[in-house]
Amino acid sequence: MFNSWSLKAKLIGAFSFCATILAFVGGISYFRLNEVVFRYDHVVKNNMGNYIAVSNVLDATRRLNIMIGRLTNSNLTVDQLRTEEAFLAQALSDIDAGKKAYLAIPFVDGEDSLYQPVDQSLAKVIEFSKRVLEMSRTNDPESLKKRDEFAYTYDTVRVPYREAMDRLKDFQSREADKWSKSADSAASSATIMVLSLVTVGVIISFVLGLFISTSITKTMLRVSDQLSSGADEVTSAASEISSTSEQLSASATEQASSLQETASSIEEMSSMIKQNSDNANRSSETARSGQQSVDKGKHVISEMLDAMNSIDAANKEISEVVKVIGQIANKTKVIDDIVFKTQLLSFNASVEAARAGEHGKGFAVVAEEVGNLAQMSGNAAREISDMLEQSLERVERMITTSKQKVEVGINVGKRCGDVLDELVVSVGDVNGMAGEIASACQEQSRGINEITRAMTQLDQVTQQNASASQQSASAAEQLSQQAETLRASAMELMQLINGRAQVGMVYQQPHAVHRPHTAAAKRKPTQLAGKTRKKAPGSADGVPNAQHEGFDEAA
Amino acid sequence: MSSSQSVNANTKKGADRHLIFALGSEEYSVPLLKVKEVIEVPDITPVPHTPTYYLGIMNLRGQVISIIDLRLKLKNVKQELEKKTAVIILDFDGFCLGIAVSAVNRVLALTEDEINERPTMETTENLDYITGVAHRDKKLILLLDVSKALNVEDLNLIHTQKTQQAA
Amino acid sequence: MDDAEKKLKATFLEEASQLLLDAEQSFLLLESNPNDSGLIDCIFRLAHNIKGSANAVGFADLGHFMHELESLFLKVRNKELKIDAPIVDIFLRCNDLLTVWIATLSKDDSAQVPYQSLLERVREVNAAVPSSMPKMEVHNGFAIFIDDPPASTKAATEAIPDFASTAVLKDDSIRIHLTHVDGLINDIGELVILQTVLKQQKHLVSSPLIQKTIDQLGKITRQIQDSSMGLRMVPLNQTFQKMQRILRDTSKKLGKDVNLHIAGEATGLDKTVLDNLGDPLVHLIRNAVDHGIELPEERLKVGKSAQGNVWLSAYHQSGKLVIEIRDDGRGLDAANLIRIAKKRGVLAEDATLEDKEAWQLIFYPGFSTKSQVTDISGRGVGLDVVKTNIIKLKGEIQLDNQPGHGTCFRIFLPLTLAIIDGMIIGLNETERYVVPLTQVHEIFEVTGAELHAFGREDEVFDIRGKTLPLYHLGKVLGRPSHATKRRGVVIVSRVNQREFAFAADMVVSQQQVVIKQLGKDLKKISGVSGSAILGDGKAALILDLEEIAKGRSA
Repeated sequence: MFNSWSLKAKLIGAFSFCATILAFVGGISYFRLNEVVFRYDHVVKNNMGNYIAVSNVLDATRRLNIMIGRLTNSNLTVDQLRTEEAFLAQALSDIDAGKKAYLAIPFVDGEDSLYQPVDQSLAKVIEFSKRVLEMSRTNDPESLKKRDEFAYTYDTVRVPYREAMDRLKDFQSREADKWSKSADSAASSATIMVLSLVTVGVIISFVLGLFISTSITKTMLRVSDQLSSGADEVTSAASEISSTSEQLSASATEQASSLQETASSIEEMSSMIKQNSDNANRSSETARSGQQSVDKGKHVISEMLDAMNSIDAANKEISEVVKVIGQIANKTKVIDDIVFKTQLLSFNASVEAARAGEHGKGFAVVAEEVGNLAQMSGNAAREISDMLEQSLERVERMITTSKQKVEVGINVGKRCGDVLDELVVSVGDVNGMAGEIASACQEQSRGINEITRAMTQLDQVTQQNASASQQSASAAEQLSQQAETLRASAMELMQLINGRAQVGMVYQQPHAVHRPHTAAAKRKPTQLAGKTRKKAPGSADGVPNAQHEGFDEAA
Repeated sequence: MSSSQSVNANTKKGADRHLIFALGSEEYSVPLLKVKEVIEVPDITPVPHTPTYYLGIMNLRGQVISIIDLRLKLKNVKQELEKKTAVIILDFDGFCLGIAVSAVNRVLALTEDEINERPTMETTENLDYITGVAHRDKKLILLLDVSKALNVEDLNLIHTQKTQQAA
Repeated sequence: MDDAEKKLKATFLEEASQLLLDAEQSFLLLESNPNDSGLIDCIFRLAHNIKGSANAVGFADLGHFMHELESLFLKVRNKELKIDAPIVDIFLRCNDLLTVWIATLSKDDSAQVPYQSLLERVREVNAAVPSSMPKMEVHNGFAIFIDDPPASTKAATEAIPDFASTAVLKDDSIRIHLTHVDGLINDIGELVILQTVLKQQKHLVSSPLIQKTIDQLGKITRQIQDSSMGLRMVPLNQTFQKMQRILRDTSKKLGKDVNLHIAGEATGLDKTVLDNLGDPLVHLIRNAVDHGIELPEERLKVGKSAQGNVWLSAYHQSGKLVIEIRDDGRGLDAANLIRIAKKRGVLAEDATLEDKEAWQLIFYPGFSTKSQVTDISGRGVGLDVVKTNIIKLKGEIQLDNQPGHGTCFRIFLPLTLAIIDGMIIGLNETERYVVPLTQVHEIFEVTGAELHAFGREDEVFDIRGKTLPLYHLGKVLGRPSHATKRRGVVIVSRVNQREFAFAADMVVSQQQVVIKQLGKDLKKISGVSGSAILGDGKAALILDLEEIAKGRSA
């Protein structure tokens, strides 16, 4: 895992580790020190404060003792008294101050029970002293005597106070002792801890530094090694390139000449195609004129068919006439019918006339006459219908023959038309084919043009190839120079890493063994070199390279 | 009565009117006064159990009249009724009968001189119904007594047929 | 003899026969109302008329006889002669003689009639009565008035205006010969047919006015047809009057006292039917008096009045005319009838009959209950002839009997014979026949499954469990028909309580048809009763299913 880290990361990691240890040690020391300070502070502020306050109060009460002493057995003047009063006040205020200071510091367990008797007895003391002072204000001896007597009882007050005060004092001193002792022990434990931590940190940092430097050096060495071998490879490759480039240049020249030849033959082809296309166009024109002639023929035939049809129509009209004749015949049938009925009528009239006897005689003649007339018209009708029948037959025969002939004519015309139609189709086919040829020729010439253009391009490319190969030769030269420079840099790097002495040795044998240290290291570069060599032709995929190859094969 | 008188009057003058009709190619005649009228072929209703020449009955203006095919009856010629076929309605003193003939040709007044006796012939066929013959325009006209040709014989025939069947 | 004379004579005879009918009625009335001077005047006028006309047209004998009769009437009129039964009898006999005389003369105008005996009788009566009238010399009809003007002229001049006015009041009808009526009916029938054709083609005319007119024309045509049919209707009163006479004569001869009650004599009936109704009625009336009504003593014995009663009435019932002849006599005795029937061999010896069936025995041919043959009835040709005649008239006779209380004959007759309700049936596609609806009992549509072969040729028709003999009309009539193969109709007809089935192709319609008599050439064709003209103007035969059934089953 560590190996996968970048160099920067490794360095930063190592230094951060050291810094962490340092910080840890520092932190521990600080907290320890703080603890010690706190304990001492407690001693100074609380214990010592209390003690001082108690001392102050004691001092003040002592002054009260003095004052009382002074007052006893004396008769004071007002001034003296005033002085005493001031004295008392001073003492009282000091007591108050002391008390205040004491009370300001928080009590600890058991302190209060000690403080209460002190406070009570102190108040009695103060009371007592104030009384004494009051009593002293008279000049009366009696009173004074009394005061004196009273003053003699001071001890009843002072002794309990003194005892309480002592107990408090003892307590305070014990407290102070306790705290200072704990402070001492804390300080000594802190010292031990810090020292041990520092020791551990130093050891770890050292190990880490050692590990990192070793790993970095290893990698760097390997890289520089590779660099130097790479430079070797480049040098040899460059020389190879330069030789190949020369070959390339030669084949490019050859290619250019063969291109020239190809172009000339293509031009010849193009002219032939043009000729072809011209011929196709001409044959197409011929076909078109043929089609026109056929069309004309067809037109003529359709005119003929029209004529035939009109003959047919005329025939139909004639058959209409036949129908009319038939209708006339029908009408004559009606006439027949009428004649029949008229005859019947005339007979009936005759019958009636006969019935009428003499009177009907004249009518009978009329009836007979009507009958005769009917007979005559009947005969006439019959004749008409006979004639009609005859003419009908004749006309029908005529129509049939003419119909047949027209039919034949129409058939012939239709067949003619069909043949012409076929012809039109074939000519159209020829025309179409010629057109197709022409268009194929055009396609071809366009293709040739394209080929020509491609040839030109090819020519240009070949020339470019030639110049490019020359360029690549010079470039190979430059490359080998560059490789030299690279090797020098690699040496420099190795020097930086390994130290001058070893590098110098390596530098002196550049083409011999790359890595003298181990057998494994020796094998590695050869493998690498083999790989590179193998890879070189495959990896060359640029256009010039391809041409190069192609021409190589062609040559 | 009056009609019979006028017939007599005509007869006296020697010219009796006849209706000439054709049965097939032959011409026959009946006295015009026996004729009620001449009509076209009407709708005829056939009557069962009658001889074939009995065509059936027809409606003549509300009167039901029998029709007999005289062509079939006298000539035994089966002919279809067609347009030209006419039916002569005969009147036998109020009893009317129709006869179908091939064609009705004309009305002729035949004088007694023109009418000859029926030639007597040795034949089994009863020709009593032909009362005489007349020549006109080189054509022979047979004078027919229809009541003899039809009435007696036919009516009896129908009668006897029916009564026999019914019996 | 010229035509005009003949015509004159014919007219006279026609008139005279009518006058005689009127006269007979008057004589009968005179018997019951001897003092009705109006009646006597009427009779006198009739006699005078006939006498005058007879002389005028040259019937001298008739004129002579009428003269004698007239003198007798004159005496009656002048109250010189009292009207009684013998006198009326003479009058009636004269009337009968004259009727026969006139009838004879119509046939042959030179015929002679033996009138002398009756003439003598009249003269006797005449002579027996003292006359205020002078004796008249009779040369001819006109001589009476020339030679003897005072009394008779007076009488005549008195009478004639009187009767002229009566005639005007009474005779508001005209006499038309039946042939004219039939001709009119024929023409109207034709009109109806034409109208039907017109109606069928109505839709071809676009004009609504013409269409409406055609409709109205149709209505009016129908009305005319109905009215024309009514023309044939004749009231029954003449026939009924004749019956009064028959009854009188018969009862007298038999020594019975019978009263005839007539009702509904104004009811009209077709002339043809009426003409054929006389004989059956006479038979029935005589029968009632002879067999029905008892002798007066007998009647009194059973607690009836001595005078018997015969009721003759006519009325319409459900489109038919009913004539009822009822008597309050002894009625029919079933046991007696059966006994006689067995004796006559009409009925088998061991046969038993219900009473009602026994009554029907009287209609059997050759059956008569009277032991003696009289000239009145009992010749054994009575009731079966009656029944046959009635059936010929498409009628029916029913018998109702209450033993001890009388018999009642009811004759049901169609109103007219000229029109029947017919069913038009079809054989094959074109032929149509008419079947009288009276002969159709039921009609069934058949698909063939109901018909079963029966024997070699015959078939039967199964319907509702009954099996009826089936006749294919096509086969019967010898006409093509497809009813045997395909679906058709079967008409069930009831003949003499037996049912027969007739198969036809289809039923076309049902309508009233006017019967047209077939010509005499076809009259007796079996199974055909006549012809009719259908709506399309075609003639069609009217079938008589009864006859067909009889002819087939015989």
